Amino acid sequence: MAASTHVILPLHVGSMDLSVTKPVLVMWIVSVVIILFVSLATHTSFGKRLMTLLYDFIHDSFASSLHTSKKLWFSFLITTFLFVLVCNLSGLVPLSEAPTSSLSVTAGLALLVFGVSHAVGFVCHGPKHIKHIVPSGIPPVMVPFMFVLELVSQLARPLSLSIRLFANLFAGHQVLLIFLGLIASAVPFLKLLPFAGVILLSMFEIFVSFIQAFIFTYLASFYISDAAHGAH
Amino acid sequence: MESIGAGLAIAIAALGVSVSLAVVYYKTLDSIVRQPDLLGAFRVLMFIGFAFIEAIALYALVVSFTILN
Repeated sequence: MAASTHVILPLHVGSMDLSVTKPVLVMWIVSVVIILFVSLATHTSFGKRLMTLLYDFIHDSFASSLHTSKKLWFSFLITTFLFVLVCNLSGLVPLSEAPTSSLSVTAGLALLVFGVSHAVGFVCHGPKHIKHIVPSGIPPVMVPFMFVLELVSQLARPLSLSIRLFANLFAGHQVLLIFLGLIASAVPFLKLLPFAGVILLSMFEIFVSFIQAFIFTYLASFYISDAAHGAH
Repeated sequence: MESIGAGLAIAIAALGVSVSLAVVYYKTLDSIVRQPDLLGAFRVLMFIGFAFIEAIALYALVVSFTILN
């Protein structure tokens, strides 16, 4: 299902395939770009303003759902947002491809969010976190059934989180590819139509990149605050 | 036969998604007319809803690509 399995540096450890593929390379570049940008931006007044804007945006959007020990989870959210956003946007750079358009990357990110949210739950409530999965105020007879039901819904969270991000990026790029193919196959005096389509779709892809990064972070903050507050 | 299935997959999904997008947009416009002060909050909520609904159509698009390949 991966968008490409173009191996750059084959590497096998035991039975595990740790080869460096294109998404992996792009992810490394994205990480370096984010680290350089964030550490260098604060030296210029424009960069300072930009980072303040970003901080305020994330703070106003997500921190309202994070009442307890806001600061620690906030840094996780801002990192997630920046990483997913730059990964999404890197798909529009020529010769590159979005790491988030391969299912393994989004599954890894979603499992990270899953792990962090439950770690937060255990840190805030200790072993009682397991009990808090079941909503409070239901008859004791129903608790085992509700526990199984809620367990399934908990396990479905990383699945839906990863597939949503993957499907958006993968489908968007496939549609772009189809339109690029249309340019090649169209009759000469109609080539302008698919070309305009490509430009419009590219703009739409930029919009989708932002929205999906926002949604991913929004859901991550929702899951974390859900775990931190315990029973709903 | 596979092409028909791929076409049907995305067509049926698009049918449902277009209806739900219309409902979301209609309700948002309705709310904005009632409470113009909360325009910013409505806009953010609307886009979040759009992204969730749109994702369903994109699942179908991925399914139809998988059928075609």
